[in-house]
Amino acid sequence: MEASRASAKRGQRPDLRIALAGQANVGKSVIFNQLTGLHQHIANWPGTTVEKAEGTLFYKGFLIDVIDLPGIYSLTHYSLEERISREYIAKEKPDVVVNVVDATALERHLIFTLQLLELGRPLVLALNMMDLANKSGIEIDVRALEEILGIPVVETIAPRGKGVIQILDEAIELHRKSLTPKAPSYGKEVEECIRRLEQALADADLPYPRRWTAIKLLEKDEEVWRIVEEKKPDVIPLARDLISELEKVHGHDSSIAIANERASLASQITRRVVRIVKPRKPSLGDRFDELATHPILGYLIAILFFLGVFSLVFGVGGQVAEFFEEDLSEALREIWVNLFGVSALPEIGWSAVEGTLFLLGLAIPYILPLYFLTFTLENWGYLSRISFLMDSLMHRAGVHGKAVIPLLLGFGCNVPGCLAARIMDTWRERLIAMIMATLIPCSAVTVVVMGLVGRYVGVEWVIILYIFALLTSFLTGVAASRILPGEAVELIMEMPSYKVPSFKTILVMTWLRLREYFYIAAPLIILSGVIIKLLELSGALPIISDLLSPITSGWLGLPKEVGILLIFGILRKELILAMLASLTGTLDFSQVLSTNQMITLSLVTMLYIPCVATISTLVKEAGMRTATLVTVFEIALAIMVGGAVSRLLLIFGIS
Amino acid sequence: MLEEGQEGVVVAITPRARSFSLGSGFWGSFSRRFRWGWRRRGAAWGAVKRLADLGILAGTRIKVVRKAPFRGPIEIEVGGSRFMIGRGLAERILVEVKPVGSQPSLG
Repeated sequence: MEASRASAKRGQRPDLRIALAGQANVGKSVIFNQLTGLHQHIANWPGTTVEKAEGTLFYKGFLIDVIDLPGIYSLTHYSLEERISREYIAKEKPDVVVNVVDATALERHLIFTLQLLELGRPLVLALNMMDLANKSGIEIDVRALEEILGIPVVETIAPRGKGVIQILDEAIELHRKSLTPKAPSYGKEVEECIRRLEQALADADLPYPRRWTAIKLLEKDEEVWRIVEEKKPDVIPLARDLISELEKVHGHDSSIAIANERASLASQITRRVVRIVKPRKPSLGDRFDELATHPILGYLIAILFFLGVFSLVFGVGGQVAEFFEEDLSEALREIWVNLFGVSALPEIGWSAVEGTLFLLGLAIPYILPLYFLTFTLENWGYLSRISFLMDSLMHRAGVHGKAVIPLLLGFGCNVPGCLAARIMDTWRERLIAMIMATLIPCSAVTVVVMGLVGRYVGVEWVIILYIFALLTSFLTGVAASRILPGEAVELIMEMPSYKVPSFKTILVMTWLRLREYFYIAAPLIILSGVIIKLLELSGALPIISDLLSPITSGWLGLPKEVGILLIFGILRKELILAMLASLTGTLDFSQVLSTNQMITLSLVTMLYIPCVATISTLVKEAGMRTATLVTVFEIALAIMVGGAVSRLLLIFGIS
Repeated sequence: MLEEGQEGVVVAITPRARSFSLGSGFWGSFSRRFRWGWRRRGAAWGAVKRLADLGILAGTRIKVVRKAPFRGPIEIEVGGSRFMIGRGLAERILVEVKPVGSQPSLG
């Protein structure tokens, strides 16, 4: 693209602020990435865990700030994302709003466009996926659409960057002329109600446009209702009257009546501008969908994808991880010792280096490909099919099908798992998905389980342990959904058609996520490495393991030294294996641990605590109290289950 | 209960599951009116509003594309795009089966 990217310094005031708004799966973020490239930063909207993506570019002498609003279906008060978007548009007043819509389903998207028009900001309509629309025989009369809506309409094909520049041109043009669109007008009765409310609100000091406030009053929007009650309480009785009148005429709840108005206007507009030249034929995607959602084959295909992703991640990743943790680590260690020698202070410094290497050894081989592959599957459209298949099962844990995504990522590392829980609709579901994700055995746990049970006891026991861990995660979800207040939300999710993945978008998303991962995990991993080194040097470790011995050896039946291992394991779980080797001075663990002890230790490792990086993610996403509760719960669970299983195994003659 | 591939027109979306619906039954001739409490609407309400925002309202033509196994969600086609809707919610969408082409437009 020809627009040069701004190396804008933070704090420089943009000349133009553009907000991208649209429903999910319309290619909004692809357009955002085309516009801003890597000149973007992702933060959270203040006080929330909803992502705010903002980027800058320089075009035609304008420094342009682009904000990617969350993908939403409407501008009600219903979800956090919707509230954020509408507050932003109504209160922050971006210079231009760009509404990205899917040209293949124009009617449905126009309903949202009408809501944006009500808000009265200058609006550009980006008709995205024009290639797909043309291919499926849909013709859209763009000029007519412009005329009816009274706003500029641009045809775009986001992955190819087509039309993206025109969006900027139109936005700048609108800004120059400072054109605000005409609000859409609805049926006679509704318009009459709106007019009377607008009149009554004439002298009120409102943070929102007057017409929009009137419409939202009729829709019984809680937030708007509250504001009007506060600023102009005498309008409320009028609103009540008008609402009951409207409900009498329409026979529906007033908000549904208004939704109906929008839907019928959208359908009228669509009939005037859209022509279907040939009927839709079943596409390759439809045929693949037959398989992907098949009651038996669907699950098989999902398992194949799952195994494919993980064998790729672990097969290739394992090699790379080894390089970081062994070859590079040893080489650096040698240099370090030559430079500083072996005494207390350099040793502490070395522990920080070691922590950094570990972080790289986790991020580059495991988390990077995992993110990349997951985003590819998502961008292609396959992940929603997994949600479709798994919804029924996940419902029993009080969450819906979308929750499989955080859980899948959890197998690589619990940190991305917890972060991915953001996709859930409500806070309650987010929390349940997060708690479940912390109980998924991650790649570090897999190293321990394979190294102990896999090597010395047998693969069948590894499988049993995994099933046990998944069951624990599931049952914890069930328990959490019983305890937490609120009702389970039903799944309403778009089933996107399959698309050729946009690798630029996938790469940008992978990179931004990876960066976020570093920000969250790095400080704690490095810091706790140093703290543990200090404990080791001060000789406190044996004292701690003595203190823990009633639990470790008394109840769990493990050697006393395990206390130290478990302390290290908090830092990063695969240290349990490394420390076991260095404490016992042997690599043949069968000499120091019995079969029973290996299984118990593996089980405890799986359950006993989220690692520091995961805990800090929980703190960031859910708050200190929740993070503490989850940690305490998991320690208690591991101790209880570990001891019980150890005794159970003894009864079955496994000692 | 609409079978896979069958089309129908939404008659109403009820707050609670009924025996005749998209999920589990066949709705006959008339729709009952429901009054929701004034400004006190539960989770069910949110779902109805969300469906309305997607353009799924009384009068909308819906096609059931497929149903997920184990009473999982239902995939529907509305105005050229597809959605999955949890079975519990789908059971509250009352539909009337009409021959193709005779559906009057929204208004």
